[in-house]
Amino acid sequence: MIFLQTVNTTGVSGVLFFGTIGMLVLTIGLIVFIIFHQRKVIRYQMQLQHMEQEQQKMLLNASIRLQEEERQRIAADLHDDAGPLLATARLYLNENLVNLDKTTQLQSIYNAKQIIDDTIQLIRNISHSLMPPTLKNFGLESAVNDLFQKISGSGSMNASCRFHDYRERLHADQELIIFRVIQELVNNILKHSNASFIHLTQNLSGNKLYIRLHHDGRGITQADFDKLNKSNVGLGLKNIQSRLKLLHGRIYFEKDISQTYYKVTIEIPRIEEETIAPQI
Amino acid sequence: MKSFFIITSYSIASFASDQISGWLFVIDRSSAAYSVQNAFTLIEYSLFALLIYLEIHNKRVKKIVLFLSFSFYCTCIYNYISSPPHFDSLNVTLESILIIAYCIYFFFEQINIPRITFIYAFPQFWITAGILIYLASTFFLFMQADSLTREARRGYWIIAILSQIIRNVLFIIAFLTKKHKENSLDKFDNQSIYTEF
Repeated sequence: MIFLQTVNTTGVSGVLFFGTIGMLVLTIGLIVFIIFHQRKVIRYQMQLQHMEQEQQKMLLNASIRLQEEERQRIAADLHDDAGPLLATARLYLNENLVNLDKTTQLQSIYNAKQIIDDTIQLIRNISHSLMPPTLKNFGLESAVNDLFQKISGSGSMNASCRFHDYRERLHADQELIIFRVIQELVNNILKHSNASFIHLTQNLSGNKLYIRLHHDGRGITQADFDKLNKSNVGLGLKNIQSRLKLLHGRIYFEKDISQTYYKVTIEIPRIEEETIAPQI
Repeated sequence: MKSFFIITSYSIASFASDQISGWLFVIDRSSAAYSVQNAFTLIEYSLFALLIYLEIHNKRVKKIVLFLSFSFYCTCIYNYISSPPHFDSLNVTLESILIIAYCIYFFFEQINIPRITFIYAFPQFWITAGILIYLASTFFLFMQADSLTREARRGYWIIAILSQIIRNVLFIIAFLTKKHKENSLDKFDNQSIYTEF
């Protein structure tokens, strides 16, 4: 009001003219800024979305390729091992029909039995590699213990594991996914790290399950993992990522503070059963 | 739908106020004309404030809007009672400042909402832009209208007329945007906050 009273009529036109122009410019500037800012944000969001889609696509491809590889391996096992074994057993039995000598007959039957036993064992091994019976019957802890005992038993590496808080079993599908992830990680350590030991620990904190793997070989860090995940190589790692995504879990690769060990930490929230995809 | 009802009501009230006050000035009943204009200021503020109030989400800001509105009404009533009928620049200036502030907050809230549809695809953007441009461009005119002579005011009133034209054009764009949205088969737009349109 003071301003209004002090302005005289000659000064009014200038204030009014420049004031109106100024306000108009400010308002239009504000609207233009909002439009451009929002366009920029949308473009950025779309870019992020596109990147996410690309990664999803890569994970899906990795998963399909892995499935195909698994099928090929089973097909090769059946074709190269079970097929010839059964063919040989058939040969022995055919020979048995022609040959009437009792001793040779018994020998052939014994040989055929041996071969059939081998075939049964082979098929059992294939079946166990598809779904470990220990995992199904006794749970994740026993299956991981079993796996580590086998590795230790081979004498090539010292493998140990300890589950600190696993009184309540997870859902079977969740256990299978976690087991596959551990298998893949251990497999990678065996293949690439040249480590002399692997140690696995399990802990429960709040609503989250933590599984940590330590090894003293060559490992990768989170930056390497992210890089490999974005590239076309690292099929196993992509598979780990896609499996963990089903559980809403996360994985961290890091080097120990002492720079001696590599650590891999898997974080899995305890989720409702319905949220897990049925086709694991 | 509520917003369009408010804008339609505002347009009718604005047209009626202009016609009635113009006619009262012609028949030389200035005090009655000023009373109509002052009453329209209250209606204009109420409708614009209601429009923005319905669109903003922050509850604290909503409470502030309510409080400021109450203060504004008190000031208007006091000014009306305490002085003889005249063009009340103080009320109009206060109204402009408050509504401009609400509009800026509304835009600020909008740009912070993550969405994939451009802001100008929504009719609410055009309505708010229309209000903002109209109030900003008439701000100095209405602020000084009280100190201008009747002839000078008549001369400068072209600013108000031009602002009203721009405002109405932007309101029409809002109506057309709404119509386009209704015809559109893009159901994803329904996820926006402008569900009431």
